[in-house]
Amino acid sequence: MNTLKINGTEKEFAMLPPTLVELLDEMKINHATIVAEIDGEIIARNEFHETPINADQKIELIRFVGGG
Amino acid sequence: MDKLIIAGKEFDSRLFIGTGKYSSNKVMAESIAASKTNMVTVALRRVDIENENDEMLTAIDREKYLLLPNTSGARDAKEAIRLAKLARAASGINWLKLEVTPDPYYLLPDGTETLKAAEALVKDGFIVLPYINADPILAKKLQDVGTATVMPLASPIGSNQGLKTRASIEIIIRQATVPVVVDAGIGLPSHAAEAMEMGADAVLVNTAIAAAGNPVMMARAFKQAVQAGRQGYLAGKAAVTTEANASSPLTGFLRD
Repeated sequence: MNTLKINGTEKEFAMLPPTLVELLDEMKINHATIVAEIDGEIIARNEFHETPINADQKIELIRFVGGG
Repeated sequence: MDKLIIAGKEFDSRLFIGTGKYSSNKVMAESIAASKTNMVTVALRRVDIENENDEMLTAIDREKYLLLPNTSGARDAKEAIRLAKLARAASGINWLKLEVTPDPYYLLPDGTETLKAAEALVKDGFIVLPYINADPILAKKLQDVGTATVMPLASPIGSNQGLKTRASIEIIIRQATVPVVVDAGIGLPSHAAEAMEMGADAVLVNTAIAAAGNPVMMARAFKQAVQAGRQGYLAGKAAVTTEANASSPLTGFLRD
């Protein structure tokens, strides 16, 4: 099955996007302002386009919010 | 010029601003501008994958304001280090407000875990500004492992209670070899002025401004209070005495 665990939620894909950039585009997430972690490893923003997506990965998408 | 220097970087303003709890990005941006701060804190959270995300970062001019990401939400050293690395990847800078707060009710920082994380992060090249309880021994240990500041709390985060830890902060200031930033619990401009008069190097304020009736006006008031408090400290206070010392001459009274 094409399942990814994104930010703690299991998501099914008919077809997995080949790279992280395409995953973000499909989810309509602006990649200019986020940072990603795949299976515990931080992915630099300039590597998003060459980072492959595989089934069963644990993906964290994180961004800055207001805080003290 | 009386400039604050942290890790070799000069700051014109001794007031740092937190960006949480503002009613809108517009009010936040206007409050930041009114405060004349040079540094603002931000937090890291998961992207909401179901809804559109509010891009608060676009409201902050990064040419003008240094971002200070925090590790809020971390319950131990391991979680704080993970957040620190994510923050560095997201912001491209290595400045960090280290906070480890396992207790959800008072949000008091865990000194042992904070020290452990600070040591590892300093070694990893981070400029670490640790949020701590007003514990002079811990403050000393942190500066010894190479943190850029120490940031003792005035009272619990967001409580607006003011300088409840005054006596301990005075000791921290006396023995500090790094700038002391009073963080958390400052609820009024007078609290900020009091901390600066004591010799604190800077204060960090969020809730008192963000939750004020008029945040922009409150930001301006804090700017003035921090400046007044700093000047009061630099001017050197006059002696406190038990008995009165007449301000007017004790001669030439209109009586026989």
